[in-house]
Amino acid sequence: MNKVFVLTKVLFKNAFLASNKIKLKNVIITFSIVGILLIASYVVPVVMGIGEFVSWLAPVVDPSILLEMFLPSIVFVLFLMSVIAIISYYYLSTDISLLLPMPFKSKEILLARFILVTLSLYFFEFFFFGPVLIGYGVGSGAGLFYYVYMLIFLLTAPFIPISIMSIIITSLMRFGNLSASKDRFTYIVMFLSLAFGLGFSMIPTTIEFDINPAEFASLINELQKVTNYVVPFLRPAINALKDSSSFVGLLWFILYLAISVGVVCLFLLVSSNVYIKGVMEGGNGKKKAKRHQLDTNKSIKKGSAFKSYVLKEWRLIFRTPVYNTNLVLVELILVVIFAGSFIFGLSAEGGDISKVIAEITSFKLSSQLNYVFFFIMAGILFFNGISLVSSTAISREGKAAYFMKYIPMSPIKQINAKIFIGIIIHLLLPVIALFATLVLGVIDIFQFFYILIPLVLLSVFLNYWGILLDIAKPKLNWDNETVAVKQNFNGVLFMIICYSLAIIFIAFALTLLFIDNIRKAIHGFIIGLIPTLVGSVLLIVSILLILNFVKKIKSLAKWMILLNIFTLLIILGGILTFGGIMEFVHYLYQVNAGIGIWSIVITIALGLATYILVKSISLKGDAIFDNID
Amino acid sequence: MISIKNVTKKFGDFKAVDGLTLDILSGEIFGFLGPNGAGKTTTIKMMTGILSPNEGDIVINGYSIVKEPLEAKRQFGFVPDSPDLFLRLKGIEYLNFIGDVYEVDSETRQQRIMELTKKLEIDDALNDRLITYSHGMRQKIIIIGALLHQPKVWILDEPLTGLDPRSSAVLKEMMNEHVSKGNTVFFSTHVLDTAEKICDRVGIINKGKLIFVGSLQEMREHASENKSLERMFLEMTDDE
Ligand SMILES: Nc1ncnc2c1ncn2[C@@H]1O[C@H](COP(=O)(O)OP(=O)(O)OP(=O)(O)O)[C@@H](O)[C@H]1O
Ligand SMILES: [Mg+2]
Repeated sequence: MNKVFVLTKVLFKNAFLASNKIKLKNVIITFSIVGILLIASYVVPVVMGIGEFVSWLAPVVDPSILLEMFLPSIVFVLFLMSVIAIISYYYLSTDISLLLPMPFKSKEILLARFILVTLSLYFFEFFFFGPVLIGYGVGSGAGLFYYVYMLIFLLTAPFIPISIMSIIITSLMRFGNLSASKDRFTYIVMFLSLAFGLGFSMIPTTIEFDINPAEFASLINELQKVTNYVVPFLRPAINALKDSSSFVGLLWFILYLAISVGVVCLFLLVSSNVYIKGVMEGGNGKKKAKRHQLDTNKSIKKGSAFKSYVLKEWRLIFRTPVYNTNLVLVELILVVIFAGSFIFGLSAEGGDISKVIAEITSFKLSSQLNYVFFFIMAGILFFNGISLVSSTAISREGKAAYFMKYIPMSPIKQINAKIFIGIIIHLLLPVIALFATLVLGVIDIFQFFYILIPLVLLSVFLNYWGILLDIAKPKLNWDNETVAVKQNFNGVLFMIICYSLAIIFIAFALTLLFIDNIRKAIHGFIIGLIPTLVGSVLLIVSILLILNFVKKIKSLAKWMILLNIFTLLIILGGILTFGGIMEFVHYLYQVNAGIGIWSIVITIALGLATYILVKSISLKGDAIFDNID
Repeated sequence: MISIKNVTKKFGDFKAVDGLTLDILSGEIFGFLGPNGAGKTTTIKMMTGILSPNEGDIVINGYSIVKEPLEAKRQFGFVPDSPDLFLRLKGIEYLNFIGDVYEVDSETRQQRIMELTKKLEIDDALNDRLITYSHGMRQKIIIIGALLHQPKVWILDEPLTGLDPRSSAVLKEMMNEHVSKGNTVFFSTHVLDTAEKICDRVGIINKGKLIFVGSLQEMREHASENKSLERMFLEMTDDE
């Protein structure tokens, strides 16, 4: 057991704590900011929403039926998530070749891996489902024991899914010759998740609030029949949480724990030899047995260096399941969920697709609705913040990152090639959506370009911005690709910035939406004066500072972070200044700026910021890669 | 032609390379020897632009790696000490990518790839992903990539480690051929036998300082006895 602990500790350090060369203080500050943002945007609404739901059900049916739905959903999601985690921690970590020759029992290695996978699922599990269960507890006025059971349940919930999936995967790897097609297997899981996302998007619409609690209860009863059959081991846990204040509840809970531990033991017993043998046999990829005749004329050809670099980036992303899921698939899932609930929602109301389309097309975006523009920009920011293509672009190179420094290709050109992929991934779906609205006649061709140009510029700016973060402090020393994208501080930071910026844009949008009311409350002259002053000070100070520090600052990381901050301030300053000036115009002549003028202003602000960013990077020359070695 | 001018590299306070000055001439194979941690890889990283020196400069074929990095980088082909690059690319995709980066035209590229892969016997693996390659095969594909643009200067960090005897002989033969055309080969190695046989001159580095440069003949004179290179190496790098 002691050995398992030591092994887990080492593996944990290797997997999660591989240093980004970042000070602890900064990490703490960042995580507290993220924490506050997440709590504000997810935890509080969910706890309150579920609580309300409970009190909506309570007069008619026993709200504890909700647990019949929550617990199986949690376990189901854990099942799906465990697959990718198991494959990556069991089979894709390179440390296995170091562990095998050491005097560890196969059980010890497997148990250490198991713990690692469990730990890796905790964050997601606690974050997403913790509030749900707490919300239920608050709503139903549960006692202390409920929360204790809940905590222990969340801690132990991954055990059974991981054990069962581990038994399946290790056997498949060993006997099903799956090790040859690990990648393909991960893709299957990815598509399952996609399907799950689609299913998920239907839930809120099928449980519309216009069905009554009794109907809802009968729905859950149906569900219960299925879950009793599919996840019977959850029955004791559900009963225990339902009955947390009584002694019977305690007995149920003990039974649940006994089953969980039993399954883990069974898994260790069944799988440890299978696992080790599978690892010892398995290669890391597929090798074709047949000799391949290469058509030299076709396959060996000169192309442009930039294109080739982009292609290389794309191949590495697309062929690495961890990258593919985290960089490309998340966006797809998001769109599927979003579009799915939109379509299901509308069809649930009208029932008729053609009616829905008619409804959409009858809506016309008025160019005076300038706030819509800011909402769209905020949406793009959220979208960009989810997929960390550029903000992990350097870290993903790992120990081979030095490659970028010895080839005869200037850093700026390589950066451009890298963010090119990021920009495409970020823009593809929004642009298609925008185009669809054009075709449907919601926007006209001018509005299309008014929105498109700032959209593209914003994405370009953000991708430069993100890659600068990663260039400043890349995380290169890893053995498992997961580390580069999932445990990368730069990615988190990028996400925070995108979300904060999105919130600022939403604030702009709301201000524009309620501007008439604001004008009634505050004198128009003052609403104009304050933003103009603040904005222009920001603008001037940041431009002056950039001009001054670009050459002076020695520490590369500091240089980049300051550059990033100032370019952001330029954008915000630009928007504020213009907003203020527009208020003066309104004050004097009673006219507001429409989408077109705002679009031009933002284009100029973004263009200026991007230009300064690119220019500074080019001026820095080769030194820009100094933190990569 | 490589000229290393009074180069120093510090990691914190630790000097990994300390005031190194060294000229490698056209038409010679230069062996870079030294115990583990002596500073060989660090020197090579500075030559290739991976690390920037704290002091000094390195000039390759007349181009300073510090001042004209892009031009300097076109002059050499570099084989790093670890061959694990872009493992999810196929061999041919890797070579094409390198070819594009170095702007090698289609015809030269086809002819070079076919010739080199045949010579090093990995022509039938080109369509496989690098992840399925053995250590030695990866090494070979990196070597081929490095030589694709026909660089005048070869810089190789322990290129012989991991190669089988035949490939190792082929590579040595290629090195000889390359310098016979008036080009330059600079490589680090721990295999003293090889160094003894193929190098025109060797440099020995210990704790970041160059402690000897010259031909084997000069080294023997320096040691004033007819000893093997191994004997002399051990004596020179002995601290006590
Ligand atoms: N990035 C780094 N940070 C700190 N110290 C380093 C770094 N890279 C190398 N060193 C130190 O510099 C010294 C020289 O290392 P180098 O890799 O050049 O040795 P080497 O001669 O190539 O050894 P070997 O024969 O083992 O390859 C070593 O003491 C090493 O610990
Ligand atoms: Mg070395």
